[in-house]
Amino acid sequence: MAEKLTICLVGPRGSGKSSMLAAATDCIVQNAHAYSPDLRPAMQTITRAAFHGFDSKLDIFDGLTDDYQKLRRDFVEGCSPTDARTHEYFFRLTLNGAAPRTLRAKAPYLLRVVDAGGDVAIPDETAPHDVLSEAREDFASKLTTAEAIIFVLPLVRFEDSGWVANLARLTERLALATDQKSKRLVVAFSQYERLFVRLGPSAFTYACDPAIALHVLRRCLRSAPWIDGLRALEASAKVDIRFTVTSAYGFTKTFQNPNLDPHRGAERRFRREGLAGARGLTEFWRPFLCADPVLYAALGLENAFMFSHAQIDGPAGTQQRREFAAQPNSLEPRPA
Amino acid sequence: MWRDRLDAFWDGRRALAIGFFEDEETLGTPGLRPDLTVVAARDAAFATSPILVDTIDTRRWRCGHCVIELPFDHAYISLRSADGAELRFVLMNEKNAPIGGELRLLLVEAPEHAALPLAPFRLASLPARGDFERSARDQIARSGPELVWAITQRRQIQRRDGAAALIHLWPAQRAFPAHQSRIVLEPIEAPIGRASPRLEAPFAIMDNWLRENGAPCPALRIRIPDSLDQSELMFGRTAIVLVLHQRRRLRDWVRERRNAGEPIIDPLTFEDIRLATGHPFEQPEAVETESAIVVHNLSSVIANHESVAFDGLSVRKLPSSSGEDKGVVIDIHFFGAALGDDVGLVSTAADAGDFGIVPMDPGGAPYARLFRVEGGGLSPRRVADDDALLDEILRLAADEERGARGGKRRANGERATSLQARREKLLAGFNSSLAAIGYSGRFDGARLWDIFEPVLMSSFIALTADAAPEGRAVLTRIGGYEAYRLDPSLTQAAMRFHDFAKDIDEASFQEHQGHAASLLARFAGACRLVGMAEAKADLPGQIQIWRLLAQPSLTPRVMKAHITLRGAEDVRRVAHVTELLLEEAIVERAAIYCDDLELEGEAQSLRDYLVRRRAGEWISFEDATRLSVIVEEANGYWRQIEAERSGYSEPAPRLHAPAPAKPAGLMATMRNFLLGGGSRGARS
Repeated sequence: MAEKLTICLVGPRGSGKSSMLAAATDCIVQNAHAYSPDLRPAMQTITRAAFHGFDSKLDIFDGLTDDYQKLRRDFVEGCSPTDARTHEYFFRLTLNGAAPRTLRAKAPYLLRVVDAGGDVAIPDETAPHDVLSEAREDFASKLTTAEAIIFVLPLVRFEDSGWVANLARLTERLALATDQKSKRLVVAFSQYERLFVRLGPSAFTYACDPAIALHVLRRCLRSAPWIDGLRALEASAKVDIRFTVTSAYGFTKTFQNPNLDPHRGAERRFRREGLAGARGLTEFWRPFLCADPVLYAALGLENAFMFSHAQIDGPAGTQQRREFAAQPNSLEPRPA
Repeated sequence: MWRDRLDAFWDGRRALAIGFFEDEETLGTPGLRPDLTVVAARDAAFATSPILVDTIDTRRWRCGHCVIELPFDHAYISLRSADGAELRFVLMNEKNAPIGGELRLLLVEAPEHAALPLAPFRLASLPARGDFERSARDQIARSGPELVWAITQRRQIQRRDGAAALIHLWPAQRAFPAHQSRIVLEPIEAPIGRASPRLEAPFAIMDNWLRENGAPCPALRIRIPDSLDQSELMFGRTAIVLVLHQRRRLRDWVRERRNAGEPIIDPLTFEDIRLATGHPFEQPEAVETESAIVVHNLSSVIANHESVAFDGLSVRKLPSSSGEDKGVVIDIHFFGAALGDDVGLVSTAADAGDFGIVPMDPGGAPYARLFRVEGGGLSPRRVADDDALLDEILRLAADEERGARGGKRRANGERATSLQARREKLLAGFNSSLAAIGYSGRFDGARLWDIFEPVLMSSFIALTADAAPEGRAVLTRIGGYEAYRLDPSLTQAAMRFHDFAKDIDEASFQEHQGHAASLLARFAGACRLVGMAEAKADLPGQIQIWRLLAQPSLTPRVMKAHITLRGAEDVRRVAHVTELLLEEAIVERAAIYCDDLELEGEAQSLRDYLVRRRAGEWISFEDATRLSVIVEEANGYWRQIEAERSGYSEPAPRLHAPAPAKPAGLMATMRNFLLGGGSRGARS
């Protein structure tokens, strides 16, 4: 029987939760993740009924019109942050290549990803918000019962952000919650590509270096008091916490610079002129590690871009990452 | 004496402009302009590879000057008139110019009115000693605001018998304007492949990186036709530009976020990379400076490309393709440029036409040529004069220029307008002349001028005005003025001898123009007349054949009879032989005559000639002469027959005995001759 998991996406408005999720399946298809090429995961959308085991009849074309495809289309068109509703998406995750026996035994995995739209979980204190209390209570319930949580936070100066206090409050409450069931928590720092704007055509080269990711994480978490709540959560609730970086826009194919077209005004990806829709983006679009938080949340499987508290805190973290990266096909979870 | 009045200007390569220009001494005094034969050789004795270069007659002298295409590596030129007078030139290496001699200064001025047919050329002579260059500049300054172009020609004259006999020429120089550079930009394919494909990726995303083998490096090839010292002023005010648009966008984004009270980001720097990787000397292939626009002075780049590392780009200077080239070719690799960025050149002193992009120039502001890095490579952009980005780039370029030179920026706009206006006025006059003579082509105002361009244009107008409609049709077929620029001698020959140029087209012209071969060989090749004029004829043969070509009624008949002209000296002899072999029926009748006389060899020779002629082959004049004797003999016989039939009984002496006996007399003589035995019979 397939293992069922609920994963909650949490993050402030505009952090890129929906974008990361929309790009996750493309990351797997393009092999744009940090797991071994031999793992060969596959993630397809399924219906709610299929997740709950009620839909025994397989509809081959069912995945083409579901909510997730709508999410992907919205992502292509560059829509504004998700409204203040909670959306749920359902996937079947399979491992078609080499994977630890324990994981293979439980496959396939049925995932329910709960995207708390807007600022349900981490509102911006400086902006007015009108989230219904029912929506918040509903999400809170899902949060405490979810097997895994993914925090999606934009890579900006936290000290200038209006949602940091609420983030800290949330992490503290999670640590204090006695009915917390989550086993894993991933903090995915999004919009990673922006940091590489000054590196031009060598951006992707350095983005593929875990040492750079570790440096970025250390730099941004240096002045992040809210991380203490996560430490407490890890200690008290025995939750495995990992930090990583992602980019829904990613780095351009071939040219390898951040996929941010500077000639389009608002933040847009490069596209081929004259081609509408997703086809125009295909030539350049390669998302970066958007599937990794979901895969870790679902499987507990680490990779070179997953960092623990100890690795972020300690200087030995750099050497350990390099050793990890130097070993091909390393699929076993590494000690924190 | 024409030898004293003739001026010659040599461009240092293969163009020789000769003419009777007016100076203060000769103003208003028309002189003799004889027909000249121009010959070139590799040695002073004219013994090594002498070839016919051109012939100039009264029609060519109509405008008083012309331009001749010289064969490569023939430094000795001879101009010969029909009366035996000769003037020789020796083309000298620029490096060994001695002191003394004379400097001839040719000035070209825009006409008062555009309707004047020809541009006024004015000549001045200066002694080539002391500060003669300053004297030239003074002359130029005195010329006034209508001066468009000026050339100086250094020469030394040796006289004999009271007239110029030998003139040493050094490469002419453009004296005005001070610089005229056309920098041609061309996007080129740049090598990629910085990563080894044999490495295995430890994780999937890095596999993408390995497969792509590094980002492509946008590259431009810049060709600068003038020598570096001629273009120094231009280079000092030209900058290579790299516009990093993602950085510019980030700058605007940060400003917008700050204004909105939103948090901003801290992009990674080179220092971050070094810290993160633990390599203090790590050097990402990107622009290290924090600026969003990078400029490098072109002059500094060319001078220091081997010793200095330039931020964001690397430069490679290519060797010139031949010893004749004065220009420079450099490749610029913009390793710091990414998708969406702009690269190119800007100049604070560029004039219209100074920058050009091949294969297609998008136009726009004359002092900037930019390319955008796109998915398909570098794509030229049309930059408007009022482009805000261009203002920003030019300010930075001006700062860079001040840093490189420490000089003061000139009022470039005023200078550009003045020079451009004069040139346009001159061109308007030339184009009016072309319109007046009914020629549809026009001179292009945006092109780069060669050193002899005004002389070329003026002589082209005269040549076209004088040409028959058929000659103009040939001119159009081979490419018009462009063909004339490439090979003036061949062009005028094709136009003049248009009857022979029916098969010439642009492709055949391009194939034969400018080669080291003689004018005769180039002409015969381009017109596909190789059989008629043998390419390897010696100089006397070339001259003789060329003169024969000038016989308007004769040569078409020679062509019809497929007789090569080598060895043919006497025009009347050629005409006689040709007339006898012209009609195939007559030749066939002569063969029948030989059959009747059982002269099998002679008959076969005649028939073989017809077969070869129909197959497009040519026979030598010597063989044609032998066959013509047979035909003449036969014609006499057939005339006699016809006379008898018509009742005219005057007996014509039968030159040969009837069959079966072998005849004596002329036929016997010729037969024996044909068989190689020489004359054995008495002539009748």
